[in-house]
Amino acid sequence: MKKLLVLLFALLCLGQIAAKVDLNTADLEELLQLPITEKQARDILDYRTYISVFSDIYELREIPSIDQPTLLRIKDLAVVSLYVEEDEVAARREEIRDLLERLDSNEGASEGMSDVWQDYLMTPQNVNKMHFDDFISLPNVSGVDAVGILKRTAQGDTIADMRDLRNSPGLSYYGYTNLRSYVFYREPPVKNRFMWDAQLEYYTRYLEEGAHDMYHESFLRSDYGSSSVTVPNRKDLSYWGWFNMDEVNPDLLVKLRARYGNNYKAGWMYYSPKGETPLREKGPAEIIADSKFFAGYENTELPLLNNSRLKLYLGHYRATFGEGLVMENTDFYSARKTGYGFSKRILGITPDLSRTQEYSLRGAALEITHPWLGVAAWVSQDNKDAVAYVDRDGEIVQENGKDKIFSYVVPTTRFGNEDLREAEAWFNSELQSGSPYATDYINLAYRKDALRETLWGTHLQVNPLIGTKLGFTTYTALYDNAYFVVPDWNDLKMLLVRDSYYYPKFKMIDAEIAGLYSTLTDSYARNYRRVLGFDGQTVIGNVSIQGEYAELSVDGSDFKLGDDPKAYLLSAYTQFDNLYFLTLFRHMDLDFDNPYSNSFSEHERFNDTIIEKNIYALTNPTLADIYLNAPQSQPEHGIYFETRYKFDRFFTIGRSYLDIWERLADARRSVRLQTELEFRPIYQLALRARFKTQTNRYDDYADRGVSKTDEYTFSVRTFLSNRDFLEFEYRYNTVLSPPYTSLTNPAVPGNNTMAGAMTLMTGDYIGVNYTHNFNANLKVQGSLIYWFGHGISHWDWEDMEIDFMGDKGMKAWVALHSRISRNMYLSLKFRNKTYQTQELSIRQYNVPVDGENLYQRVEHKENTIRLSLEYRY
Amino acid sequence: MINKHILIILAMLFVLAGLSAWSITDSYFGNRYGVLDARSQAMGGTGLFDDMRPAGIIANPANLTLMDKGAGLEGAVFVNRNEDNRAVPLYNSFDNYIDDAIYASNINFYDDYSGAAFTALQLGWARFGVGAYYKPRLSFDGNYQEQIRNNRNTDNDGYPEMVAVNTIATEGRLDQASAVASMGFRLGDVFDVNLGLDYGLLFGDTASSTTIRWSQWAIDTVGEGVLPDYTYTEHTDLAGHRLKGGLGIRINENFGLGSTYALKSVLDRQLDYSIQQDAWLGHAAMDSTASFSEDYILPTQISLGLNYQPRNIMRTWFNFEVEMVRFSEISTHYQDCLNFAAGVEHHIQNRLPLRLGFSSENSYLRVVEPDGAVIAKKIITPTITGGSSVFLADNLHLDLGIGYSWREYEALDLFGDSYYNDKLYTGSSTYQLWPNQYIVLTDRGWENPDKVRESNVSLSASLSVSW
Repeated sequence: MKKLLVLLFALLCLGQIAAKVDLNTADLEELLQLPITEKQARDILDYRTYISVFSDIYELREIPSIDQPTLLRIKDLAVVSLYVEEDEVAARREEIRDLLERLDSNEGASEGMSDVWQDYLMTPQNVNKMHFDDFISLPNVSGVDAVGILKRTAQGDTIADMRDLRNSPGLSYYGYTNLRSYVFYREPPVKNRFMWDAQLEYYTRYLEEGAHDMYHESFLRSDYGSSSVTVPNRKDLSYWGWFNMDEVNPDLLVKLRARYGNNYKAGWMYYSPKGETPLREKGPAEIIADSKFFAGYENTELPLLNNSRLKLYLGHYRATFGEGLVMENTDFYSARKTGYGFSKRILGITPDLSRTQEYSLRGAALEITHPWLGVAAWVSQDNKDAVAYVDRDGEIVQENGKDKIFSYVVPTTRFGNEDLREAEAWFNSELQSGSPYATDYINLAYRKDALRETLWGTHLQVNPLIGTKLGFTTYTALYDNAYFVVPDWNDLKMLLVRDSYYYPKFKMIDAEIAGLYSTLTDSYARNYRRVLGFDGQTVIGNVSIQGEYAELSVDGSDFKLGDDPKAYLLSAYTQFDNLYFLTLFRHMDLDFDNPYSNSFSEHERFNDTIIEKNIYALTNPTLADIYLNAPQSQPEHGIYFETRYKFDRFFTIGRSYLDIWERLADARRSVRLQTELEFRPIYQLALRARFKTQTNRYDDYADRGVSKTDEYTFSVRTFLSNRDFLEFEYRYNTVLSPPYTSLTNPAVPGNNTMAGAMTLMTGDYIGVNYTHNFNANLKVQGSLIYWFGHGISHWDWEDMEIDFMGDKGMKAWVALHSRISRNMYLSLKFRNKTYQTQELSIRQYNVPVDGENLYQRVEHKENTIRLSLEYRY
Repeated sequence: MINKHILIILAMLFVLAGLSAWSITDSYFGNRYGVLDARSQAMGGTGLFDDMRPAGIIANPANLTLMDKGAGLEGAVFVNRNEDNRAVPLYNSFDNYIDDAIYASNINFYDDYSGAAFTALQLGWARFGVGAYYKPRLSFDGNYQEQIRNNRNTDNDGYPEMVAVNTIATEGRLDQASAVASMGFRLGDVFDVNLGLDYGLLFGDTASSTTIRWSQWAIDTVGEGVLPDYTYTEHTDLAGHRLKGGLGIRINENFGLGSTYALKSVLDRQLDYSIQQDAWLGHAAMDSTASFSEDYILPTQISLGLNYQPRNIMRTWFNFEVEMVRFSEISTHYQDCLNFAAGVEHHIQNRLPLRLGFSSENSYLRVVEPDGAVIAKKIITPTITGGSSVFLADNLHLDLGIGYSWREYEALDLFGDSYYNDKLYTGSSTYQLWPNQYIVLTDRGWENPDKVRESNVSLSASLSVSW
């Protein structure tokens, strides 16, 4: 509730005040009593209404029509009372605005977690009553930090204020600075009150390279090698052409959230990505099915149970426990998710208005936690998108009376099923018109909402000591209308690859696909997928040790460990004030196929498999979606070290890590190292050097498949006045690898004519970033980058998202962030990206490749705009 | 007897000849102008609630009495740079469609102007005003040129011969001259309701020509009088009127609402066209003319806008507007569309405004197939805008605006390849104009459309005075 307090201080005697005109309260008539014109009086009123109340009488000079003589004339006749307009929510928002902005800019990576953290920033939790999991779910707060505080409160000590918090033994300075804004001490800064937030986003984006290539892949009959057959060269033989994807088709997002304090919460989100059916062409049922929504109740002061917390959510919610091996539902993969620093998990049940669609949970979830124990239970019922076996007519193939499903999938574009069937019928007619393929029709295809899934799960946890916890998590997903059927490696090859000519493309790494879970095999038929596991954490001194073990029930017993596909992770985090050190060991079996997991790995599942590398060989190129948007980790076995060390105020080793791992599908071994040194001779200037190297190799007598990538980055950052920021960055990359045909062939068709050794590819990148703050409410950010790739892909973190850049090109973007009013935020970003793709294998329309006509380059121009409008109240 | 292929080509050309405007895509519906006021343009084309500039009466007649002014005058000039790039699908050596490459790029500049004036009188708590304005409503201007080259010797850095040049040139506008009346009622200190009416006369004409001219090299190669040049010309007249009602409510010091309802207008469209083609192998020269008239519909437009003037350390105006265009009134081929726009003005320093805006507008690519079927494809055009103002005197402002918009869509090849098959004209079994016999000169249909990428950079300047 907005509260207005007007405090009048007697600067002079009451009689004098009565005789003078108060500029902060006077109306037009009163102002006209001063020796000023009506225009000047109106200008004073306008200034007060639209710019600011007066803090002193000299502020009148900010008004163009008030000149110095006028000011001197009225100075002794007017007074400025102290006017404090206090709205505790606005005041709170002002206090945490930097953190809110930082969370906004990280939203691309965290996908919905920002909402939860923003809520806790606005309405903090009582630091004296928080549980261990509450602390470690906050960004940059570790278990060691949490124990430092909890030990104090367990002894009956009450943390009285921020300074008191800082003095908690064991709490690092870094943990303290990140924690202090998420908690309150005696009185909450904002009393329980109604708050709401509305967001509208319009975003014209381009598909990333993988999705672009996937949709461009043509369906062509087999005998176009013959000169007697005319190549149709029809764009509409690809998904891209058929679905007219050459058009500006914006993503639209509408999000509404409301809550009363931290007790009652509700929200609705509708996200319509590029290429999907427009909202007005959908019926109400479809709109509801494609929306995200929730209503929830939270109580941190349960009666009878001392310091216990209850969360009850209906609608969409997220469930995250342990290290994400059993349950962490999201559509979005992030590499090296350690659970520390900014790579956090919010443990427990949280409302979900993220863009996660496939692995969202929709139903009811309950969580009760006590400092000593906790229990959570959830149930979800939702229709999931899937890759299904389809027949020549596009009908889903039946197996034992149920739909035959291959896999879950997060599609790049959720086409309607009828639209897809029309497209597939057209593609099939082409495939079947020539000499026969091994598979002459689309046998596997995405189907929207094809899989009926009912999922229930539970998590039990005991916390016997402060900082020590043991948990058990399990879920079971029931499929009443379908069987998952995934053949073994050999049969899978024939299922996925269209023509026997391409069977050699199918490699050991594709065992990852064969490792997908089946509910129907020669030995069993069932209608569920069950995962269970244990997690634990303990803090000893300044070391936090945590881990999780999980099993997917396949043909072993649910009550016996080690007889089913498994995954485990163990990590230790040691922290000092200026140093931390993380060691993490992980293992995931090849056939541990848990779509609801989101744990640590270097790569997402299916990386390097045929569905990434050879989409032209697939029976349906859109099978690549199984890889492109996979949130699961790649089955790996490895050890990871990470550290950050601040020597002094001049030198810092930034987040640096070393990872040594083996990819289990094909035994490829890799080492990756990234290290960063920052030298800050003065506060305003930072020089930064970063080195990244990765070596991949197979144990092979011919030493095939060895590649080495190095990346060197140098940047100069200047922190100017008014929080303006200027950075120059240069990056140089090299990739040394065996000859890669499409990069090393001469520019005429045909094979190499000489012996090949290794190939060294180099690329570089130069960029400048600038942030200018006109004032506290208006900020402009911009960047200009030129890059040269030669087969190397560069990346760039923009204001709110990451961008990948291949080949060579230039891009510039500018983003304007305007705080229109105390509650309203406008952000407008425009990006122009111009780049060229390789010239090889590109030829002119309708001319055979051995003709005379080659295009030198194909230029792409992309204009991207993102408008975001948000109202927070 | 005209060859069937040629008939189809001519029919296509006839259809496509209409495809010429600023953007040659907007031949039929024209390229829609917003309010040519530079402040409005800089704020994303918003202005349904505008109590600052006289040209506000163009966006909403109720703005006339919303302005607390006795009289006002504004003139605006507008320059637009249109870039139109058309790309042909590319296939790789495996015959897979992989991308598109630009084969024709056209950059053209266009300009226009508008003017508005009003006067108003306060009578007690009521306010009455009348005004008038002139502005171009739709532009049909457009120029397009593409070269047909045979790609000979491109591998060896040679310059391929030019076979023919195709052009489309159109000039024309639909203008609007309107009389505006408005009444305002002051119902509180900072609360007033304004009602306005805009009656506009619509008039205009267009002239366009589409030509195919063989190059001198082509003529020299196959001989004089063998290759037929082609010319299509068209002239249209448009006339009608449009009625628009407006509402402007100042709710309090911080909020205002503006809304307009423009009734559907049915204009008379009189079209005269002629087709001329030189004689060629066994075919007489063609010179035919025809004319017809039809209804030309400007659909109903319903707009609603919010104006927000919060307290900010910079004086700030924020506009957010939604417009519904009832395209379905034209025919069942079209769907009603929602456009929206947002704009903000911050006074970074006194009298130095920074204006920014965004809009998203829907339009239709209308193609009449040879069999008479109408294909309507919706195109979204996002626009970003910016601008500022030069303070000349208290009541005299020079506003400047800039806008950048682009759109990407698929469209049919404007000139089918089969016309350049010299075998048709020479009677030979081999090409003379083309370097090899692999080339198959067929017309690309929707199975292989062009990828069109257009961009517009617009500059506007307006001078306004009010007192």
